[in-house]
Amino acid sequence: MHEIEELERRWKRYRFKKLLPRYAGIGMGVLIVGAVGYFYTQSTPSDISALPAPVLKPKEPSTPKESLKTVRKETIAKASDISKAPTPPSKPESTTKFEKVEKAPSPKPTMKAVRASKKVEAIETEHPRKKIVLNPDNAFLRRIAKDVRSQKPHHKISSRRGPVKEEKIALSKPKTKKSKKIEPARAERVKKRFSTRNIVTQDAGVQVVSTKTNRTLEHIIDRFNQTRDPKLALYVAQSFYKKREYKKAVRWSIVANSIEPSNEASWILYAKAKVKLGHRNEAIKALKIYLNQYVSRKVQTYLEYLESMP
Amino acid sequence: MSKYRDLQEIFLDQIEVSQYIGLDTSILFYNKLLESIAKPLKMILLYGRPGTGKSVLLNKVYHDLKERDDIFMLATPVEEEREFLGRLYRFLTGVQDIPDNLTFTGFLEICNGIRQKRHITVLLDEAQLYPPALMEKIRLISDTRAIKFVVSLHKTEKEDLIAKEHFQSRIWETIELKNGTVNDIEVYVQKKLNQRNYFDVANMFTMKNFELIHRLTGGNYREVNKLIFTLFEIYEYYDTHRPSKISQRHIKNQFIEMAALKLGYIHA
Repeated sequence: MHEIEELERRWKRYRFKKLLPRYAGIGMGVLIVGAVGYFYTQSTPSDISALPAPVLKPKEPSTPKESLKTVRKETIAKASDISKAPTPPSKPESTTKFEKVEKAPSPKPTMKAVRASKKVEAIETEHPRKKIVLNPDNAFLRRIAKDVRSQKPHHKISSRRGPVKEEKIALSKPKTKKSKKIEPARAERVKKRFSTRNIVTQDAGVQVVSTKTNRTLEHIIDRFNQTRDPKLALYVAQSFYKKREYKKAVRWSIVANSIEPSNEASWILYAKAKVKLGHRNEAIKALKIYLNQYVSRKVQTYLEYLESMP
Repeated sequence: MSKYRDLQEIFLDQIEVSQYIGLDTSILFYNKLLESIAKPLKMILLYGRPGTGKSVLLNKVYHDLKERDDIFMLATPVEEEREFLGRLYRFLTGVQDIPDNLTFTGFLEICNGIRQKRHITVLLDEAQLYPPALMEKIRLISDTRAIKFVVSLHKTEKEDLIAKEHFQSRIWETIELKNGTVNDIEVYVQKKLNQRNYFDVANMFTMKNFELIHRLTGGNYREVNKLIFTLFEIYEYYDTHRPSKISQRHIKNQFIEMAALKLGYIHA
């Protein structure tokens, strides 16, 4: 008795020693991440303060390149989405630098797009140092998407040519039920595209079938055929259950059961396999039949569990 | 009595024919050995690390062939030349009394006399324990072609030397037995348990258990026996004193590691 307790203590020591390097590694990782995070948070504000102040005043030559770039990117992205919609063109007089950039592609921005970009501009000028301003505004995108959808008939060709952009719009929208209802056909088209791609890769790939040869089970089945030992049948049933071959498990548990009906294990295994096959009622029925003839706490417990299942 | 006591007995290190477990590799070695015995060879060398199943294999071969073939087995080494010759003489002639004037030369003459009439196979287990002088005589007896020797040796540097010095020019067939793989260990343990109808216990072992057992024992069957014997010793204790600590569904790796600690395979 003392020996086993001593052994337990030794095992705990062994376990601790075994896991120590792992914990140490995790600790080091956390420390490094923490340190990097700390340096980042320490260095970022000073960098920002080092930047020259207000940025996006239109026509101001001293605008810092970095912030301008980001704003440009944003507006270009938005404009490219908008540009697909052939709405009446807005006035070219709104001459901020980034608007000039968006002029380059042939279609002209809509009024709404201009309004939206002005909004961004206003926000930028109010809070020039906050990077959060540069994050995509979902509500804004949603409005654009609605606009695009409302002019769908003019939009057909572009949707064919550029399915990726359409997907982008769909992705940028918040995932609501409404949005799903609105574009089922488009979603289907996209789905179809992806599914066909999948099929192609599957066809092109090499199918590898791996098999594991274990003759134990065959050996036991042979032994069962010779001896008709219910324990063997139960073992085979359990093995099939483990392998997730539930139909075979059911068959073998019935075999075990027919030889030794009083064995609760075969009934429970039968019920378990039935549940896995989705026949819960049959499982419950079988357990009740067993309990009518025999008394078993295990069967009772499992039956209660099955009945309590939603 | 706890069932774990019974289970310990299954994994006692015994050399019995019933202990022979038909694994993929062991069946292969068995067939190879039978084929070699059937060939007109002077000697066959069976070697491998201790615990790879040489003795069990020799026993199995002896048990299977003794009814139909002229086969004789010396399971324990005989150091005295006279006793060795006497035992062979008894087997060859069927006479229990060894003549006082039986010499090595006389024995060789007997061998020459039966050369064309009988095909005798002698299995020598633990041959590394035979004195070199006697090994030399065994070599000479094999030269008469009356007796074919199957020599089982441990594979160590020293014993490799013995093999080289005495048998290099004569051994026409060598069979090296190796430790088992994870799958071999799995089949070995499960078949042992199933042979005694402990299906539920066989089901308690998972692949992770076998991987751990293989890692701890290096796939050596003797070490596997020892480890599982100790494992069931620990289980017996818990079953008797603290049954809530053990599960009847799975074998915890904790207990395997505890058994390994006890046997000194790992250190805390």
